[in-house]
Amino acid sequence: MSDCRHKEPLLSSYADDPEMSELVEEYLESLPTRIQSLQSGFKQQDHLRLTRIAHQLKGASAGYGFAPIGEIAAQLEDTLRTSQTVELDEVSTLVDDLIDLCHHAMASADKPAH
Amino acid sequence: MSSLSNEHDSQHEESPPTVLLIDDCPDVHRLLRARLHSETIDLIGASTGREGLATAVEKSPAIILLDLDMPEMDGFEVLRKLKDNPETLDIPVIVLSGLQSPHDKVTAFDLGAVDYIPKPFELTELRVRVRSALRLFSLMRMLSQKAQIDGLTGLWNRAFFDERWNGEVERVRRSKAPMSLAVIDLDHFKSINDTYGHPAGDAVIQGLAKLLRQQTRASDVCCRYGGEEFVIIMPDTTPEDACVVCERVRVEMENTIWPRHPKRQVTLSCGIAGVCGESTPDKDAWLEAADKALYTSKQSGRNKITHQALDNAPLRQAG
Repeated sequence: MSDCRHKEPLLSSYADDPEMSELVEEYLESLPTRIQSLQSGFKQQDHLRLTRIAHQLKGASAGYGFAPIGEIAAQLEDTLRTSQTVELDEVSTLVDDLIDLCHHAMASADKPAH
Repeated sequence: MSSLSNEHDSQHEESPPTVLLIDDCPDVHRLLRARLHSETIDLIGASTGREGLATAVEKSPAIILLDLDMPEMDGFEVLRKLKDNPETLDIPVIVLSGLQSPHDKVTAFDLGAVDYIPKPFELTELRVRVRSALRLFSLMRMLSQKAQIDGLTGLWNRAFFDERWNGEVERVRRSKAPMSLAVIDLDHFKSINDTYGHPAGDAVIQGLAKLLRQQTRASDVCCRYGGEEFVIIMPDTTPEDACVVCERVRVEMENTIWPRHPKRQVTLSCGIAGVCGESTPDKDAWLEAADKALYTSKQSGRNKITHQALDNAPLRQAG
């Protein structure tokens, strides 16, 4: 994992949009639960669940202005759909990257990860 | 009944239009609601294709926003089903899609979507596109209702025909001039829709309407009477002369190559009933006679015209 991702804070592209601030906050607050789902889904090798979480995260992240998260989530979803298995190294890497990005987004907004 | 001519209580002029969002992602619903709350619209949501289809029938929304990328019933299937149902086929659909291939875009438009917005969407852009589609929809509905024009073809609609036919028959009763009524019905039309989809069927109907406009005279009144049925009031025209005009249309139709199905031609059957100027039948009996002539055309092989002078006896055929 490269470090450059952590030099820039990961903020919503709607950070300056007053209409969106409450929504962005809600999204950030939802991240811990999503991270947990990703972790347990991966641990349990639950392909369906993991695909679903990736799909939802893809749709949500882009909408709230976190395109980088959306992109990785999309990659994860695609990989899962094509390979039909959770066991690939690629899947493992993507899940890790995704969780890392989520943490980074929360940290950038000064929200502690719990 | 198409939603264009529906007068649901929730859709009358003063109440805000209903926008139905079909998307499996709850966040999209939340986001849209936030971004569109300043618009005077009533946003309702469905999280699956199945739910969306049922809601569309129940609520008759002014617009549908449809996500293509859904797990169970995918967006294209939902779109097809919306366009296959007479109750929902006129509702404009804006497709939202995370899928990015140009082929998907073409498919969406081809299946009848009016707009295509890639995800992640710029919510401000979505807002103005929704506004624009709503404006279009309300104009179309006004035109349909007030001008008595059929939305798809631009020809007069059935309500207009009923009124006009009455007047024309009365006029002929007084003037004793010749007049003919032609009833035209597309042959095997249902199978065009079934095999090639509704957009193909629509293209055929529009094509025939164009032929009618081109081949008939200024004094002829062309109406779309039903789904695939048309009537032409032809003042100052004997049945024989009406037959000549309709024969031109029949031949053009037969020779038309349709882009969506170049190997499959579409033909029409026609029945004409008219008077040469001696007596004037009752307007309903007249229409019935034209209908019977149409029936004869169908029974004897289709792609035919049968004409009859009502002030003397025999049925004649061309085609």
